[in-house]
Parts: sequence; structure tokens; C-alpha cells
Amino acid sequence: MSTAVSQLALREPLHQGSEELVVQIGGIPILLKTNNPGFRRLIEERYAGFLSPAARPACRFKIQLTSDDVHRSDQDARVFRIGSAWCLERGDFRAELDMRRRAGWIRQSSNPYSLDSVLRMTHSLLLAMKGGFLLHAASAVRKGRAFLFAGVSGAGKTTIARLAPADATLLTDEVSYVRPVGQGYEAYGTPFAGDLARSGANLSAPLETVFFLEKAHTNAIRPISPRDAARALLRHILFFVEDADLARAVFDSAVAFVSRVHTARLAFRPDARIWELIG
Amino acid sequence: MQTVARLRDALKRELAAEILQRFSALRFVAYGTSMLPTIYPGDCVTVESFGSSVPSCGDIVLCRRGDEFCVHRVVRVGGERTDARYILRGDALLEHDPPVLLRELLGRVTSVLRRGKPVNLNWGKGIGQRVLRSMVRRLNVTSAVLVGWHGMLARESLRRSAEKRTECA
Repeated sequence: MSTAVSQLALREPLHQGSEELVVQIGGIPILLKTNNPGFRRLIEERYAGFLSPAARPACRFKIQLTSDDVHRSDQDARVFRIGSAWCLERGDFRAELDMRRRAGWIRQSSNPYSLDSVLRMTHSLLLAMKGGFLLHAASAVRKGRAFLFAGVSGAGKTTIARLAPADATLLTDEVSYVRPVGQGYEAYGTPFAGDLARSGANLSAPLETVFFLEKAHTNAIRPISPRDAARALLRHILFFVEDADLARAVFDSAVAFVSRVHTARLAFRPDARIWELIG
Repeated sequence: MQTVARLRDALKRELAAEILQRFSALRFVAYGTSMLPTIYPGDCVTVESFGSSVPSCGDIVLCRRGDEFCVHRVVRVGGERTDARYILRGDALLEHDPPVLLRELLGRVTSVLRRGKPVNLNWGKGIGQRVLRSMVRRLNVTSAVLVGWHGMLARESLRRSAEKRTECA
């Protein structure tokens, strides 16, 4: 691994008796508390590379498991604020996070995808306040620099992740994590997997380029204007929050991002030589 | 920083035009003082696309000139429908804007909310309204006083809302 890449957490799962686990994604630790040993094991396995017991949590959730058969995950997700509490809900879960106490609860079935969604929503909320965002994109680190590949489902995110050379480390093939650090941006690995069904590496690297994927018969990198890049970026940012101030903050973050990070269109065919162009 | 601000503003306008085209309505918060005393900075303005109708004299319209947007009133229409030239002017201004074509007009202002209450968009015909408009056009200080007074009322309204919320809690 390059020296520019920082290792963020222990790779080994925890085997302690506590009901609490700290899952640290993108350098933001979230404490999860469950009194169900089976579900705790499931969390340990699912977020194995992202458990960070020593980290001081940015917020904490108490998980209450409910019966599986009454919930639906095909409903639209909603995130809205009541006073100082953020409410996150979908057919298969409800959660609340009080930002003053930095504590809340999750009511969900034992389906791990529900917890994935709550974590994604919580991170998108916390990131929006810090100038970062989650992006529907694959990302990988090569030679100490991170590359993002944004695209809708079927655009080729998983394909380009699969074609990555041996010296590239996959951060995710589905949901990329971006935060401003100093004058630039850092991309972080996430456990949120797409078709590759493989958790990303828990490390971070300075973001070099964001590519917007286009399927083509030949491989080529094409320039994109900042305005088009901002529009494309906004299309791929995961943001569920019904809040004018936060929406404005994310819009401003996207504009600031394309002004500071190199962006381009990447026309590609499913061929490993595409990585010779990328860098 | 200036580049970022320019990009942000251009993108906002582009998206606003698209929203209006796609959903036939757009709501935004006004800034600027060219439409005083009808529209104040901070008013919530709703614009609807024209549909099959055409703008006429007295309508307040959203106009796009290149990358710039403005909300002004139609004061004169010349020519036929397809190549009609529309003359616009801000209620607070003495000078007309350069003529524009129908395609440069994005929609008609259908409502303005000030502190949650609807505002009458028509030119007031009373003597008081006429005097006020004339003063706004001729004396910059009138605009400054109106904006200051309006700001004071807005702050007072916010304070009352906050008090009500605290009482409810």
C-alpha cells in the first residue's frame, strides 16, 4: 500500500462480550447497540473491516429488532427533521437521531440491508454538514491516488471495478465516500457493495479524478465542462434529506467540488486496457 | 472563489429554467430591489409557465437574458404573437429594459408571499400607491427606507414565530 493511503481501522472482527459495536466509515465512527447476539454477529461479519472499538463515536444508535414480515423495503426513503431530531424512515425501518444528544434508535427487521440503509442515510446527513457526500460511484486507489467512476445502474461501475489491475485497491463498486480534507478531497472505502458483493477496503486516499462513465466501442477520456460536471455530480449524489438548508449545502458542496477536483467523461468498453488510460 | 460563485449562480439558473419547463411551476426567494414596492427582497415568488396563454401588459414575468434572470413587469407589447417584442420594466425603475422575445420569457409570476401572506401583484391605482411608486423611482433613499422597514417587520415576524414554537414546546 502506498504511503499516501491511510489505514483506518482494524481488519479483525471483534469478539468482546459488549452489546456495543463501533462501525467507522469515512473516518466517522457510529456506535450501534443491540442486545440480540445473532444480530450483533451479523453486524460484526458485515462490517468486519470497519469495526473500530477505540474510536469515539460521532453518534450512537440503539437497535430494536422487530418482526420481519410487516416491513417493506421498496418504499421511498425519507429523512426529515422534527426539532433537533432527524427522522429516517422506509418501509423496513424507522430511526431517529437527536443531533443535540448525538443519540438515537433504529427499529428494523433483522435484515442487514436495512442497517446498511440507515448507515448510508446517517452518513449522507453528517457529510452534508461537513461539505462531503456519498456518491453513486465505484472507486479505487492506485499509486496512492483515488479515482471515482460515477454512473447509474448498468453504466459499468462494477465492470470497471472488476477490470482493475492487481495494484489497484477497490474502495467500493457502488457507494463512494467523499470528504473535503485541507485544500482537496479524500475518498474513503465503504462496506456498501454493488453487484461485486464485496466490501471495499477501509482506507482513504487523496481524490485525483472523477470519471463519469459512458459505454462506448473505444476507450477514451473526454473533457467535461464544470457546469456539466456539476450537473452530473448532482445526479449521482445520494441525498435523501427533506431540508432546504442541507439541500443548499449539498448543492454548494457539489459546485465547490467540481471547481477543485479534476473531472472527465470516461468512454469505455469492457476491456482491462481502460486502466492504462486512467492512470 | 469568484469562479465558484459564478458557476453556482449559472447552474442555479439553468436548473430553475429546467424545473419551470418540466413541472410548469417554480418557487424561489426574491432578492434585489428593482420591483419595489411590489416585491421585496425575501418575498417568496411563484412563477408558472405560460402554457397556451401569452403574457400581456401588467403581468410580472420571469425573463432570461443569456445567463441572467430578472423578474420585471410587462409595460408594452409590440408586434404579433410569434415575433412580438415585449418591453419590461422594474416597478422601481425609470428606464425600460431592452425589448425581449416571447422565448426569453420563462413564465408569469402568479403569487408572491410576504411573511406567509399573499401580496397584491397589480399596480395599485390609488393616489398613495402612485406617490410611493414615484418616490421609489426617483429617490434611492425611499427604496432603502422601505427595505429597512420591511426587514424590521420580517425580523419581528420571525421572533414571534420562534416565541410561538417555544410556547408549543
